[in-house]
Amino acid sequence: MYEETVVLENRLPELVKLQGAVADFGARHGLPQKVVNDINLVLEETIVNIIYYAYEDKDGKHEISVRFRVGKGGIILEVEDDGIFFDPLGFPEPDLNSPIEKRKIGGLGIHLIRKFAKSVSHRRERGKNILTLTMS
Amino acid sequence: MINYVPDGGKLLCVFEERLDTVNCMNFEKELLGKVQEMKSPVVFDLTKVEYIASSFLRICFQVVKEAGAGNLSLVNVSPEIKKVFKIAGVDKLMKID
Repeated sequence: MYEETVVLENRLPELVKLQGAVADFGARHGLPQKVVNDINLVLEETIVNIIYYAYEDKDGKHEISVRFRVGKGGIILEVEDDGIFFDPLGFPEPDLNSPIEKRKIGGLGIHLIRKFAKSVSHRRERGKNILTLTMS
Repeated sequence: MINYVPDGGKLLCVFEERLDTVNCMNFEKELLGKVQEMKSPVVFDLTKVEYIASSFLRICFQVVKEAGAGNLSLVNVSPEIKKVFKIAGVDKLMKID
């Protein structure tokens, strides 16, 4: 199984580093741009949620690691952070049928993660959140 | 970066880059300011856009709330980007071509 890891700081400008890592991963494995974009999307949405919600010390410096694996099961992404317990799957789905005046803006990022990844699972280990995303 | 083009009573916004979280954060205030100032229908041209994140969907929401239902249209939208709008369940809230 092929594996590589990129480590980001908990700052939004680090998403540029993520974009580069995803592009390199895609090029190394000959992935179509559509798949590269889907991988970038689920990881970006995951990491933005971590940056915004996972840390009680908002100005503290933390590391978020992203592990890319390619195996028989397909592409597996693992995002690990040392923030508070945060399981994005525990959030309710947005109400997609309510009119614009009543629609809540929040929750769209998690909704996209759920829909673009083939499977998503969360576990807590050694004080860390580990989100595993499988892509088709 | 966005090119703002007055277009016969509409505000035409031509997007020139990826619409990811950081880029959206950088242009959001200016864009919403122009929408509020123009008080006219808004058109987003996504010809050069290959990627959007939920931040852009949120900005579209805010534009619809500000400009009024039916007053935001998105043109030259690639099938992949249309899919994101559809999956997010916001494709019915604005006109997408």
